[in-house]
Amino acid sequence: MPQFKFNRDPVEVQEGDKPEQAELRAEAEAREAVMTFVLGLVAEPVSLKYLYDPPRDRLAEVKGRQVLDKFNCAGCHLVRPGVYDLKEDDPRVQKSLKEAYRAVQSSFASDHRFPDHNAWVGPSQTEADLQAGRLVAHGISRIEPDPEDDEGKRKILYLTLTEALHIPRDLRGDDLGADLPAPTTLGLPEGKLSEVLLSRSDALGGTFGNLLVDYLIAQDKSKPEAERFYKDMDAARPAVPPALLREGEKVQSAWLYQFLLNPIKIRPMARLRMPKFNMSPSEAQALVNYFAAVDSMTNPGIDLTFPYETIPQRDERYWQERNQEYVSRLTQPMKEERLKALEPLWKNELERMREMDPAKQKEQLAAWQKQWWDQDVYAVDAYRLVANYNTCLGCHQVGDRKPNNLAAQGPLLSLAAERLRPGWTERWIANPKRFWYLSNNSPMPQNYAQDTPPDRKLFDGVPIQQVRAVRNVLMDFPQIHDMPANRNYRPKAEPAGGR
Amino acid sequence: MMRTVYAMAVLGSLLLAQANPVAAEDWGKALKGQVIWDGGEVPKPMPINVQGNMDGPKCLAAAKGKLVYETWVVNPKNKGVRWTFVWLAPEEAGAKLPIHPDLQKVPDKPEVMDQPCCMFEPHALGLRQGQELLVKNSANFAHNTRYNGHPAKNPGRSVLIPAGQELAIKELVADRFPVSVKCDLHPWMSAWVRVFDHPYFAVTDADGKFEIKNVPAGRYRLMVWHETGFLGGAEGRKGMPITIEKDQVTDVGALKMKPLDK
Repeated sequence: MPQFKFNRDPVEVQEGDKPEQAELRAEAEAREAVMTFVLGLVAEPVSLKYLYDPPRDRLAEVKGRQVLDKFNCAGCHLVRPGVYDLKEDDPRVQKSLKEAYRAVQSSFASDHRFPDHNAWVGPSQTEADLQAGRLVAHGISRIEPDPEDDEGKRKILYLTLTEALHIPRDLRGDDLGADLPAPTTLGLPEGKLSEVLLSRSDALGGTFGNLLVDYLIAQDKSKPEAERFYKDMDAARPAVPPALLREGEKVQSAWLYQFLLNPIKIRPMARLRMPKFNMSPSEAQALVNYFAAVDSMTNPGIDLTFPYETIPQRDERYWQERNQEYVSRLTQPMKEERLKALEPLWKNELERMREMDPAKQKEQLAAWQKQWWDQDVYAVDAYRLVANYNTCLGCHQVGDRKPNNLAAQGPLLSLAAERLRPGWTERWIANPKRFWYLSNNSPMPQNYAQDTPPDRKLFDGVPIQQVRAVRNVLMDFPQIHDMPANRNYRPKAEPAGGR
Repeated sequence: MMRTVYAMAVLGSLLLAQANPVAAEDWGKALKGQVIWDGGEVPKPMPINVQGNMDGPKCLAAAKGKLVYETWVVNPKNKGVRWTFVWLAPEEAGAKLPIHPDLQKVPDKPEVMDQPCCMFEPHALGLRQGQELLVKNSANFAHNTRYNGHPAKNPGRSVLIPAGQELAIKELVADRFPVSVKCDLHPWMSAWVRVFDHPYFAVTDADGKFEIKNVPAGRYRLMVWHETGFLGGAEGRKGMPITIEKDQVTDVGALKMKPLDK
């Protein structure tokens, strides 16, 4: 490549100079002039209209991705679902969609539907997608042998949806379209993927978690049956690093920030602890913003806010309103039953005041009872749902009460108030399966199914009211747990023996 | 005129064939056999370790101290293997089995699975597609029933069943993939359900014996599956060819089952 020359003017050779020297001097002067011009340009501010000004969420996503990459978070955790463009008019896709819809329909009766959430209702397909015959599905894929193939050669790509897929076409016999909620699984022929998919971009992250699941199951196979714990994927999955999908929707920003700087043990079932990465406060903040921003963009219906969130359960008025509504719902026998249950507690307190004038004691008892009806009955009944061996206390420690099942213990419920967001907590309790994508079923069961008659002895309400009552207690757990009626409450252990 | 009658007869027979494409006129009385342990020494019942579970003592009390794994239940007297699924499959993949007129209707009565003492009873259960599976909890404490089969066909659910209540499962469809049933509160609890689109299936009894009645005569494949795998390993997925004789009881004799690791 010939050397570039900046000097285009004729060179004037001065007396005593050689022509080459004159040329070099002129070239140096020209180069300096260009450099001065370029440096002058740098100092001049670029017009704002030429600068990219991303929306806040998008900026948070970009900055967060840089931190995710720096600390290789995707090595252990599933960070982002894959995107699969299905050929909508392909008969194999149609068959798979119909089969999946039939399979998932059975869960609708027990489900509590949240129509603004993208795990239940998928976004409408764009005009361009419809014209191209494209269905955009978000999910996680895995390839497994086709159980229908006796030879064991054919394989199937199972696509588990992490977000609901809205099908504009008729799947139900009407023209309204339908939604395949998360985590519906579609089966696509692995050998013909180019015929059923227009494009495919697999999920980001989680490889180590998947390998660890396989390892735990394989390791357990060599043990005697009595010592096996990780018998299948459902049992092994809670032991590995969790997926970080919906992390922004799930956790409170302030808690996540602290956790990233100084991780603590959350899930007793986990075989690995989150290491301390010594990330800087600004890096932790970038990650916190990333998770919230991603969920805010992909799930606009839930109105996620960050870095601050509202926890209405911390407001006294919130409890008073719930209490008022609850008391108006209770029947007279229910009220009497509750009063009777609290009599020993009040009696005990009065015993301590035996020096007091009997008339004043009576006054005090009336005051307690009034406070009970005006403020406490809802919170106390809701707490009974949580401190219950049939539900939460089965697997979670509630205050100082150990759970029934120590081997498959869930996170401490006392952490929930500072860790979880109320919206996610309600949806998780209502139907955990909608948020669990990496194995068949979540370790948390659906305790308050829509179609199951609720047990009204502890808390009077339909299943969704019970879900919200549990959510409310968890969101203000330290205060509710510390109420005198709850502090001394000992849940009844069921007697031995079958019926 | 004759041509018209002939054409109508052909059309009629075609329509009849379409309405019942797998009709068979010949039926065998029954198909029976016995699944026998062929893995050397008969496995002894292995007690379940319930330590670390607060319900453990209650479970042991309810089971009168006999809480054992049911993966291998082998009768020491005749080596019969219990809880093995046996079913008929058409000779050609994708074909349908003819169904005896007496068995056409899917039973209205649900199949019941209970869990009175921290074990599913029965441990293995066959079901017709469309038939209800009723999971009861007759224990005095809660159980969580988590069931799932093929992820795209029988994705299942995980539902808490409080003491004394029950869960009706109506949505299971016929599939080659078994449905696993578990309880997360008592992790040792495990059961298997298979769903069929025909009535020709059985689960072996305490002697390892099975009997399937009113079977279609002809050549079929006999599938034998235990929760540890098919009889004969991976090759067993194709089943074994059998011929069912008309108006006879077809006895396939002893089917020797060897655990895959032996």
